[in-house]
Amino acid sequence: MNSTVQMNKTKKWLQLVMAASLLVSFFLPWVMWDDSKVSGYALATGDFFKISERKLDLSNPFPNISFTFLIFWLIPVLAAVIIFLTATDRKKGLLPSIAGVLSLSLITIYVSFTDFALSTNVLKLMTLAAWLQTAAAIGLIFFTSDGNFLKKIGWIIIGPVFAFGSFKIIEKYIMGETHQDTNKSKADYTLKATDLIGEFSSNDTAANTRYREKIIIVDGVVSQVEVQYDSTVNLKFIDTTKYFINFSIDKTEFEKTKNIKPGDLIFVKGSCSGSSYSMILDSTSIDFKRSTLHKQ
Amino acid sequence: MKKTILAFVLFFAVSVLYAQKKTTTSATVAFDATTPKDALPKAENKTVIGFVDIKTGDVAFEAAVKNFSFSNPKVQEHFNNASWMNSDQFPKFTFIGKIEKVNKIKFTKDGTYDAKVKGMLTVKGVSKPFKAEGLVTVLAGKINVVANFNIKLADYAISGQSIEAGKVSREPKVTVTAQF
Repeated sequence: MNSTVQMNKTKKWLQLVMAASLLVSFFLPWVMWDDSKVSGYALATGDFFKISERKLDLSNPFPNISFTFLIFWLIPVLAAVIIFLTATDRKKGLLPSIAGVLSLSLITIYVSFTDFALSTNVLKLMTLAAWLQTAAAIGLIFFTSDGNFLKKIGWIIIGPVFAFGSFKIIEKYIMGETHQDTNKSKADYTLKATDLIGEFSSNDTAANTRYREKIIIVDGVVSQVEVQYDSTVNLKFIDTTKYFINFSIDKTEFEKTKNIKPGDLIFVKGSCSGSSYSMILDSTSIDFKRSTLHKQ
Repeated sequence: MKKTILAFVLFFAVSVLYAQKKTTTSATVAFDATTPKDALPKAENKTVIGFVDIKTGDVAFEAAVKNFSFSNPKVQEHFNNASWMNSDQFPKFTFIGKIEKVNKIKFTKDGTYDAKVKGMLTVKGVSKPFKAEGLVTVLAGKINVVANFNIKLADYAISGQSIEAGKVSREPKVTVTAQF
């Protein structure tokens, strides 16, 4: 009887210590990126990606779903609730398991992201607080949650597995992303070559702001054709101003472009890179990339 | 700065008046900064402006930074942003130099000739002396130029975590091709 009471007392203190450790370490730095400390709450507040953009050249790939990271505020909230319930000898149900899963998921995200960004020994960059959070999360699940040993192991594993798997899927998606085929892309603007040149020559800054990185269909009379040895064809639209438009059509379209000659009226579609002054030509080129002949 | 631009403009304007001076607006500059950890940092610009004076050996190239095309949109965005090439502030890569011993290249006779070029390469506002070797091929009145070389990013004050993490090569391979 005495040993059972003693064991319950010990268990209660362990639960309180684990929950308190989880709560406190959440607000401490977990990882070092260069000279920047990234705390456990940084992902929930949005600071995580602000620091990563500044220090690691990595911004949030999906800013529209940043609100989902607010769920990690449940870690300190649940830890506080568990402390209260433990101190008042009340049942805690699934709360310790949920807090532990969220905590281990968050740690996994930090480790995975740091490894992706820095490709170095991540464990050296993790702080004592990160290790404390990990130990507290595992301890909370083991000493506080209900269920048998296998069930508790399941709770410990599920968070990191889900977080790591999701991270890898997102990483693969981002690294595998390519530009949409220009032929299939919806044009942002359709303009005559003379009008496009007119806009740039009258207000270069405004035109760059408006057209840079936009898909534009340009129609006009070809002024010059340059055929390269690798079958790439460059088409130019030149007028009386010191501006000209320069499209480079890939060699895969050589069969369509090889017969184009100066004086032909054509439609070309591409991604506008904006204007750039050339000292060699004393002219300004309006360059396009990923260009293709456009069927009207 | 205005005097420098004026000097260049006069130099090239006078040059182009003569047939010995040739220009192109379809030269290609490709760079490959891939590593075993990342196959994405490579790009190509096919609207590079080139100039050559076959008499004096003067040569020049200008490549608009924003017209380098990457396969991955995110990498393209990073390449142009302020912490990398900062293309808003430094819109061009330029090279101005001279072909050494240009009289050894017979520009009017079909053939392939080794060439060495020396000059100043400017990347992200930093100008450094630069030399490279290439091949000049003359065929049916056209002059084709190919040069392959490496550049050290650190020489042009280009650094970042991606380089430190081994995801971007410290010395990307560059290939320049032009047909005059």
